[in-house]
Amino acid sequence: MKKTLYSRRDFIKTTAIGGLGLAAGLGAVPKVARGAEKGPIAFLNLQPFSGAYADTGLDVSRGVRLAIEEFGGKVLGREIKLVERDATNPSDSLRRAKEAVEKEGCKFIQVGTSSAVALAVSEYGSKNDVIVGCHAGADSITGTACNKFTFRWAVPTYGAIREVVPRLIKELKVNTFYTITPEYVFGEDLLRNTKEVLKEQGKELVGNSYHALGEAEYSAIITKAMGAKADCVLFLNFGGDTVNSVKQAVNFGLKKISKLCIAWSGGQTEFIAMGTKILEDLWVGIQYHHAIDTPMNKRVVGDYYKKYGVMMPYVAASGYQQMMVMLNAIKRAGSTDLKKVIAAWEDYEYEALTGKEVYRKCDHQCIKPYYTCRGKTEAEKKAPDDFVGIIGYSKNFLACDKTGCTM
Amino acid sequence: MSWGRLKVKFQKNASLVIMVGIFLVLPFILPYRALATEVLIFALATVAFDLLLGYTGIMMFCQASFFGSGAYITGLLIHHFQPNIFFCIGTAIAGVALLALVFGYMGTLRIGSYCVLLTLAFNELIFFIAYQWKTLTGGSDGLRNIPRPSLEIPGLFKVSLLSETRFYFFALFFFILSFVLIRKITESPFGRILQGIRENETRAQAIGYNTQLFKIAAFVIGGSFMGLAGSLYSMFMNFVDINLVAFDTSGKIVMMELIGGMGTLFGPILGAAVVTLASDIANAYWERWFLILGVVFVAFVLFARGGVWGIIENLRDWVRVPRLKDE
Amino acid sequence: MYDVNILRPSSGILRTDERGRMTLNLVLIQIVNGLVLGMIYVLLAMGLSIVWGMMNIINFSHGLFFALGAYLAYTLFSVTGNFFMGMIFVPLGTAVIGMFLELTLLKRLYRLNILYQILMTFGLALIGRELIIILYGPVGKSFVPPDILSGTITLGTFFFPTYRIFLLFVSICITFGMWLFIEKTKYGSIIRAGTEDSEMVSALGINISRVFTLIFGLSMAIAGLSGVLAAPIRGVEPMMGEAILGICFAVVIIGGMGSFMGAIIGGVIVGLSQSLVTLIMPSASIIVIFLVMALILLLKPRGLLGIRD
Repeated sequence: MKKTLYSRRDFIKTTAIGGLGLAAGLGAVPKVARGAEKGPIAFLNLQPFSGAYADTGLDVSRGVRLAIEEFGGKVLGREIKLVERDATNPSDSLRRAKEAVEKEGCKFIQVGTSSAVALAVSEYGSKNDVIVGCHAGADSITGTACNKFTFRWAVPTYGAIREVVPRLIKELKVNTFYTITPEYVFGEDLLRNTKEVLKEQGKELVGNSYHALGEAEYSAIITKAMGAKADCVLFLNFGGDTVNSVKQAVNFGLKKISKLCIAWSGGQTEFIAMGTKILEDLWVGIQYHHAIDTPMNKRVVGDYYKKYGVMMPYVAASGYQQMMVMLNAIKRAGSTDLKKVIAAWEDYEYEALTGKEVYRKCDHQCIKPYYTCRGKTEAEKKAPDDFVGIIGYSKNFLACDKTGCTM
Repeated sequence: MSWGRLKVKFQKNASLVIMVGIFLVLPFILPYRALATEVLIFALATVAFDLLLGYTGIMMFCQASFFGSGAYITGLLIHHFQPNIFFCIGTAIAGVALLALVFGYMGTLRIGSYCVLLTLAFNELIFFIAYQWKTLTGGSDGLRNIPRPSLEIPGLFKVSLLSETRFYFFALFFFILSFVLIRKITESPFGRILQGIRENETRAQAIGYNTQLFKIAAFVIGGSFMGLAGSLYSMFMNFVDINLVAFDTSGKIVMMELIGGMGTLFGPILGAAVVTLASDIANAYWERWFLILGVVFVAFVLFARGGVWGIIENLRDWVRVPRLKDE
Repeated sequence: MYDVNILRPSSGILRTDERGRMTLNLVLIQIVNGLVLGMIYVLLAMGLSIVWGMMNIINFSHGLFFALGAYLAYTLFSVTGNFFMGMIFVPLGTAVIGMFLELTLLKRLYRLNILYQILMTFGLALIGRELIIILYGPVGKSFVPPDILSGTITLGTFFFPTYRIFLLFVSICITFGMWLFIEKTKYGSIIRAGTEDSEMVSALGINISRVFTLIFGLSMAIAGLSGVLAAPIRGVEPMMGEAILGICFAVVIIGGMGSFMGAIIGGVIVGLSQSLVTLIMPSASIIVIFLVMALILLLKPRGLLGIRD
């Protein structure tokens, strides 16, 4: 007797069940909670609260909360409801965004420092009518992947390199560079910009070493860098990689051969991990520093210190500043209608931690300075967490038509 | 058909009917719809894995390769060409089947635990390729711009799947189809041979079966369904995350399988639900909830190797036994 | 103002006008680096191989004990300021923890399919990692070599961090010590016999259960020790166990499971390969190891020197 694996009757049965279910679902009216015009306004804060960048997530969260507190906890007479979710990878982050949109009727998201997560959520926002404030540094966020709903505070790699490298050349009179780059889209962006600037300035890149993201072993690269004997060794990595590579470099004695510079620093977390001895006379490029001399910065840093007992780190400042701008844009728009909020946000110059800032209309990139700092010696430090001092800063951004952004 | 026979048929398929019933209302009872889709898709992937581990006894770590490759294939097709939805799914299944054939062949050349490590190495290789080939996959940034295709049969109808609820039921259709198919396979003679291989491969060989062929077939079938799950996932997220091919995803499916209950087909569904729901809910309260999941997992390995389904079956028997005595 | 041309007195060789010699120096340094890395892998592989060979357990928590060793050394160093104490007490600590886990958890699973032992160790690795993050935080900690061993020494024409030379020396000593133990002592012969046929060893009247516990403890002791030794180079961070686990498997498979010399050959090959491939294409350095592992599994599953599959 030949028994078929799957008889016709079974097939009909299954398709019937499936088809019924499908029809039921397709006909079903999705019940989406729409934010009533009276109830609280939901804001989703998607940050890495677990994993290697958990400290970053916590700091951004602190900054965001400080902004909400300063704003009075309400906007347009409605309570601000902050929903915070862990966003260590894009899939989970997207799901959280869907959750917030469905359950809370959320229309405003602040998304954290991972480029992959930021890009994914930014795209989601543009397709689902949600304004997304990004804290990541990938150029494409306000470049080729830009959209009307996404805004970004941090200076992208273009501006970062164009402050740090010319500053090094000017202050240290260096002529030859060696770069250490993570093999990662972001690292490539930093390297590409470095090469461009060096060419413009007529300086030489004597060599570059790639390393895998998350690499723990840098002896090969450091040995090569020492052999190249460049005036300056530029670290184009970030986070734990920077800490590891710089520490190992100093242990090998690279500081005695070349000037060391970290182009894209994560700020306090990295400084604490490296320690004063390593940071001494190291040059660092950073988005923000607590010693920036503006009245607003002094005040907010003071408030932050009163609340958390530490100097405000860069990511907290990022969280604070972008949340403030978002809330103010809603206030100025007079409603949560996204078109109005976007219009109110664009091209509006405001008083910020770094001085005067504006999110330009063509790509929703915030025009703000990038800072170059130098690591202090033990004697120069005014406080235990006063690791670096500002040397200089400038604003450098691609012209609107060169960013690759089409909105 | 008499009532008696209908009653027997219902009892035999009670679990299936209950399962379908729960899935039909799941999006409306969970906190948000996307969570239901997440449970559904991973349930499919874990049921497929159950065919390999639970029924054939093959432990492996390349689940992520199959799941993720399915996601990438569909994602890339939509990203570049936007063809018909069934073509996207079909191609993904075909592509992953081919991959499973290759991995299956190499993984089954010898008996023993070496398949575990070989599939681990293969998974690392796939991840490496996905990571390095940035122009194709987007590398660690992932693949974006995957607009959700419509449910369309050219010339007949076209329905948008943009709403989460609609997409859920679309995925549910495939899930039910796949589940019934896999169940038929496990109940067939082919399925019995697979179980025989699980019990004692040498004996199965002694009887005269070419066990390698059967194991490769299991790889291909199980892998294809994992690829289907991945394909659905890329359309669900409109995005392909590189973590889908990472070791962590393989590990997640293993946990769902064990916690759910190996070799039961229904168990993996429960496992997927438990792990997904627990992680979603617990995550909001404590970032380190994963620790609890790990402890639960170890506890199950020690005391409840039949998984949650095993516990349910024990309860069911415990309730039933008194009645049997009366009859 | 900032003088970039201060050089160490004895480092005159790294001149850019002698590119050929510089490249040779670079390769030589990488070979030494590779040996140093390799010796850490050798230590880890020895422990993994013993447990695998004798107890048939593919220990997915081996990397965790490596990480534990590093973290315990960090704690001890933070509290006492003494690194060398760590080298003695940390392996004891990891051995005790390992034996405790073996007695309470693993032993129950021996009569079952080895799948469950794999799953158990997999679960333990997960739990261990989360515990580390809870206790120490998710960010890595810095760990510098103790002052006596910091700095660099000149070997002929190039300079090299003192600590790595120390590590090379210590790990070679430990490896030699292990060799003596396994080849020349009674207990060692039990290990050798058990690796070939543990049932037979039990039939000879030796309490195999107790031997298993001790073997597991020994394996975890070596893993912990390699963690202590590796910490000053790699730092300590919660994922370090998972990162090194795959390589450990690769080393054991390449060298041949159950073979002592295999662990040494495998470790050295993998370490050298990683260092030298990094010179050409950094991100490929790990995948090359997995490719070699896959090839060995396919073509010569016993590994280069293995005695059984």
